[in-house]
Amino acid sequence: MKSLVIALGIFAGIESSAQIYGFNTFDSSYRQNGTDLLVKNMPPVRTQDTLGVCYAFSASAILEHAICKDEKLDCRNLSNDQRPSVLDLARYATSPTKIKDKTDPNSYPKVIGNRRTFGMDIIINMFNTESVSKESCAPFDNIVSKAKSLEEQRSDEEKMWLQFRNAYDMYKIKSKDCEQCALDYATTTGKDLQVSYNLKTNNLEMLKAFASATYEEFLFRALVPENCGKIGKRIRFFTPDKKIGVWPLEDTKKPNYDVAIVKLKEQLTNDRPVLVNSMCTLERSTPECAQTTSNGLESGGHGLVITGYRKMCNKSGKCYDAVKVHNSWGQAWQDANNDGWVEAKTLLDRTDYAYGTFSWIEPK
Amino acid sequence: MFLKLVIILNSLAYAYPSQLKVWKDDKYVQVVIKEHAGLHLSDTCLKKSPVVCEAFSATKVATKPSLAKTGTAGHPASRYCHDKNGSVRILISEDNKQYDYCLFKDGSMVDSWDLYYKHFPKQEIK
Repeated sequence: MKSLVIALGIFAGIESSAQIYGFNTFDSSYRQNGTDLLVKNMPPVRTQDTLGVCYAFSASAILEHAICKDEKLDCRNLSNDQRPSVLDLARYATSPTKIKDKTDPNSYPKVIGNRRTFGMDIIINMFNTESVSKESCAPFDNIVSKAKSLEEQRSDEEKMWLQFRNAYDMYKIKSKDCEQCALDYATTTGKDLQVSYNLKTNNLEMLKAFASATYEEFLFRALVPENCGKIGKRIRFFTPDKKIGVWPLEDTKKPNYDVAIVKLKEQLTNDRPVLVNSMCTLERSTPECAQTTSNGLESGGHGLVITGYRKMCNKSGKCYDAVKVHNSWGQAWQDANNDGWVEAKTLLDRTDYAYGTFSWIEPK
Repeated sequence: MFLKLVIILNSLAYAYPSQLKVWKDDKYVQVVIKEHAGLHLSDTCLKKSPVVCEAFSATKVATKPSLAKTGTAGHPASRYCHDKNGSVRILISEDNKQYDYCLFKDGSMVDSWDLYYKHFPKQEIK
């Protein structure tokens, strides 16, 4: 019998929804059995903070690995001039069929956090445009880490992303009654946001951001300066010698774990990190990955990258497949989870093996 | 003997850094990290005994976590940091690894995943 111990919340009144499901680690009685398959030269893991853009971080890891391979770079030490901007990548998370000129980066919606959230789309659209802004043009961690002073008390208790949301919502309310009041508000609040979060957007760009039709567009325009579209601010990604691998190719005959693990190992053997479009972290894994709780509807889809495979066995001969996850939840998550080595079947079964569960970059 | 060597090398490879840097006033500044009771805390917490700081206090009692409503799971530990009235900071090691920390009003910080796993333990195969 499978001896999986599910540790429950230890305090009464805490809902089980707080638990993250799908990442089962091994206790110390388990040891690696045989050699492992490990992708070489992966970039360091990053953290997405509270912005729901795991899909952009996972796509970025795949692209960075491909860039390092092409240019023979040590991926552990990429500068922000050598890596793609995750904020700019986020807007490629859209179906290419909806884009007029797929090769023109300007044709893609200038939004962060739209509802279609698949890393595979980002890779496809990177192949279409062959370019993206450099991370140095809109450095994500500098924006998130901007602190007036670590020691000083936070006078402003608003959380960062909530502050952006509130600023945009307030502008919309003001603009209904008084255009000048809204403009004054946008000018003042825009400057506050620029200073508070180290934004590289200028005053005019902030005003344009406030005039956006949606919050998602406002966020992109506020965080990513317009000059990130200029050639010198962009990374070129050459694709004539590459293609995108996708598995499974159809939704109708869904494969199972045994087929999936073979496909995964095939890519890892060829030194290809595999993007997992979406797995469900909620207690009950369903294709839509949402559950109703007493606090409302909770969502739990998560995109990640797999960079390794190994067998883990204990002394009594009980063995499991394990995969190494390259997550966008920071190094501390990797450290706390045996550097990302988790039991494979539980994780992969939570992908539902839908169309494009795995994608990767391979030679033509 | 060989197994011991592998274990030692492995533990060195994943040793938690004693210093991290944070972006402050347009440059990175060093933060000293200390371990106490299985938690990684900023050293300001450990200047007095017993340990008194908001980051350490936050680990004592669990808080009801807010839900991910963005259509994705988001970042559970960062969200929980906000639930604890902290604010998120990304700290970076010398080898460019990023660590999520939770910053409190008194300037003290705790590793966000330490805080999260303290109240919502991982699932482990035994």
